[in-house]
Amino acid sequence: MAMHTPLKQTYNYAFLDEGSKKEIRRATLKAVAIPGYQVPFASREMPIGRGWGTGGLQLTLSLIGDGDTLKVIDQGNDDSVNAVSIKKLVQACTNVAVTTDAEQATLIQSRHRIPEVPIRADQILVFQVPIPEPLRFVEPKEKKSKHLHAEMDYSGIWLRLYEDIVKWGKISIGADYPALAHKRYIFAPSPIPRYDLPKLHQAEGLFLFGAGREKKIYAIPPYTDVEPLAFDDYPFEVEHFEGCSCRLCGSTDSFLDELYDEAAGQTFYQCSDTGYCRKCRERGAQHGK
Amino acid sequence: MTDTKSFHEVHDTRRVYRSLLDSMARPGKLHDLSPQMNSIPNAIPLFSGTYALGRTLLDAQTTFYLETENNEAASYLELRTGSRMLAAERADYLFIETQPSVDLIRTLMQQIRIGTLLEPEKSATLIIRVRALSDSETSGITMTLSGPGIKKRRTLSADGFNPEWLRIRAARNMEYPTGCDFILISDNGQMAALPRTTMIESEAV
Repeated sequence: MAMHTPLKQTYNYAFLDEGSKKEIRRATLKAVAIPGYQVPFASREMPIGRGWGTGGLQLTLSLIGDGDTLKVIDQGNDDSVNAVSIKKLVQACTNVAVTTDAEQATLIQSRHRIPEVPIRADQILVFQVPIPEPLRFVEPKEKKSKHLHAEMDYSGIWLRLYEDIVKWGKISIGADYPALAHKRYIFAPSPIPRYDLPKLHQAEGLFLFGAGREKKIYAIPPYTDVEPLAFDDYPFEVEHFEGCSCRLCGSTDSFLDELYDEAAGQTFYQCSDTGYCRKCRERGAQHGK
Repeated sequence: MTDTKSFHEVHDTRRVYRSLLDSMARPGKLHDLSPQMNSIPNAIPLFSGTYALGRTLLDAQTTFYLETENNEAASYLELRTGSRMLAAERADYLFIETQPSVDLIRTLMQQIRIGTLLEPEKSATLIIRVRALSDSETSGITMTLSGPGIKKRRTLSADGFNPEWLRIRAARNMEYPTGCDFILISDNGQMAALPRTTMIESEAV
């Protein structure tokens, strides 16, 4: 009898109700049709705090299902608290497998890094975005920055870059370096290092950006022009690690984090992409290094 | 819901969406929706492609326009999705199941919303049924596509697709980022998208 069955309350598959998923999906489709344009969406309350990856998480949940393998990274790291919590949440409300191997994943949710191995055509990279508006530091009002995008009036941000050169002799923006998508919209690539920005240009994979707190979704489709803002005499430059190598795997061609050992008073370097670093070490062990 | 054989509200709509997303991201690439369309009963008054995409995209927050020969089709789609049928100039999604006359194509394409410079996403998506789609030159019109999502060039052939759609599309998509996005779906469930960013050179075979 039904009255004897204990009430078991469960969430919908992939946590979000179908109406929410539909709304996120509709916004995502328009975002792909207009590269770099920020499509507003009705960001839902999530069981993690706003600013902790709710935009990326909502995109992931709107996409994920049978046959997917998920990887979640936080600044390249598979094992950080934020990444682990998001992975556990997604696992708890879906049936998908998780991995730390970027090449095994079909969906990768990331905070502030693009994996070292290029994203393939059968993979989607989802970014967690804190501030989706690249013009925010030159125009604090959303209503006005929206107009600036509509009119392609980007003189403010160019002036800011010029002032940087006057003041510091170079463009001082490190992470979240603004770029132009499909020769139309300036967009914020989320706080990835400059090192990662060229990976968005004419790439094989699809890149989706979700800003939960700011309620925006945008996209860079495959094979789309992404040009970092720069001047002819002050070209765009990525971070360099000349003479440095990862202390774990010995890589000299990956993005390295600088760490400081206070006890020994030593500075050392380590791969930021932990999944890549692990694979390098495994390969090294196989070759009897 | 007991309205379908096995079209699953959660999993089939998600599969259709992933195909649709990849179609939009890679214009002209063919996706096969027939597994989802085959799970829909034949008795419904709609083309199964309309049903699959309608269930994936539509809800009470959206509006649609339907061009069909079946009188019961629009109210059926309203009932199944919670969406409302409105005039073409107000609809978010336009489903074209018939082969409309050149005059009707012109009228519809002039009426549809193309968004504004401030809100280019408030623009129509047209889901147009064609006889067949192919990635090689067959019958009908052959389109050479370029733009975001396409490495150099891609070929898409559509049979039963009036070239008038493309002529007026070019005019209405003149001022990027405003414009409209096309989804083509064939009788046997092949799907390809032509978002506003895609440049099309076409010729009749």
